[in-house]
Amino acid sequence: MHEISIASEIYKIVEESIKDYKIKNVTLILIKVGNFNAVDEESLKFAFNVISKGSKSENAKIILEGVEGFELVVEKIEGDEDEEYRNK
Amino acid sequence: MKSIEINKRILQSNTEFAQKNRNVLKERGIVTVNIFGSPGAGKTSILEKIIKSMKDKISIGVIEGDLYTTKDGERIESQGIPVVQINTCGACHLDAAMIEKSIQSIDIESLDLIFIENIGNLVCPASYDLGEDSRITVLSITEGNDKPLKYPFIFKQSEAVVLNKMDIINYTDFDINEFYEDIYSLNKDIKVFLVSARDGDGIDELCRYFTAKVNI
Repeated sequence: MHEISIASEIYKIVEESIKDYKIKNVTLILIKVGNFNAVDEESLKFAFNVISKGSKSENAKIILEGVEGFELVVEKIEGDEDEEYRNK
Repeated sequence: MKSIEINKRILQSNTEFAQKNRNVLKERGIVTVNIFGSPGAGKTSILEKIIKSMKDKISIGVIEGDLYTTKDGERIESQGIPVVQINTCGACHLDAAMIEKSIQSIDIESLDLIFIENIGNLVCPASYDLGEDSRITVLSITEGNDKPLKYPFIFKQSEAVVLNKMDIINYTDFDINEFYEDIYSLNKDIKVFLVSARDGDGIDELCRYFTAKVNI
């Protein structure tokens, strides 16, 4: 049930990174999820999908890496650089 | 294409609030207990009994979490102790920012012990540190003895499990031996309290456990 709040935290982190690293569109988000968080993969993806609609991460593929324990970390993102910005 | 290592903790902002709460509470020597359990397990009923028996010796405050209504807050308030009701309006857990607001809204200076009654839910609240010292889970006989294995994480993190509604165990198929076996397989150090909030059995022992926390 808490997937929505976790998804919106992920969205916030991704949005910050988009700004920091001048990303045009995010293609992949890798998340490390400790099993103690009891996160349901499908509902997390669904929630992220809804939250990210219309943003630069709306088409990102979300990959969950399951680990033991409590960890809950956005490990890495992939995306294309904003060319326009770079040429400025 | 760019690949960026982020390595940011997802609940970092909650953890920061929790740490702040923990410091504020520690500085004042207040012991804080986060109470988990399903809806209807008897969290509020047990709290009522404990407060009744302990409030003359120990100064207690309660933070009550519910989706809607102030029913539980009113029940606790009628005991004449400070209480804050949080309504999450649908959210399935309390978070540390809600607790920060709550402890600002009551006079905590005189308190020895704060109980936080979390939202009735055996899953989500476990992921949110609120700044508490310990976590306990209330499980009731009518939920069945299979619940610890079905919801293992909350029991793994609990310092104690309070098994409520013991007065009706003989009318159910609750297998207490299996319960003990399962609960210790998840958490070998967990303390088990057998209580009946209804007739008061086991409440004294539970009070001694909380009193010992305050007196350390």
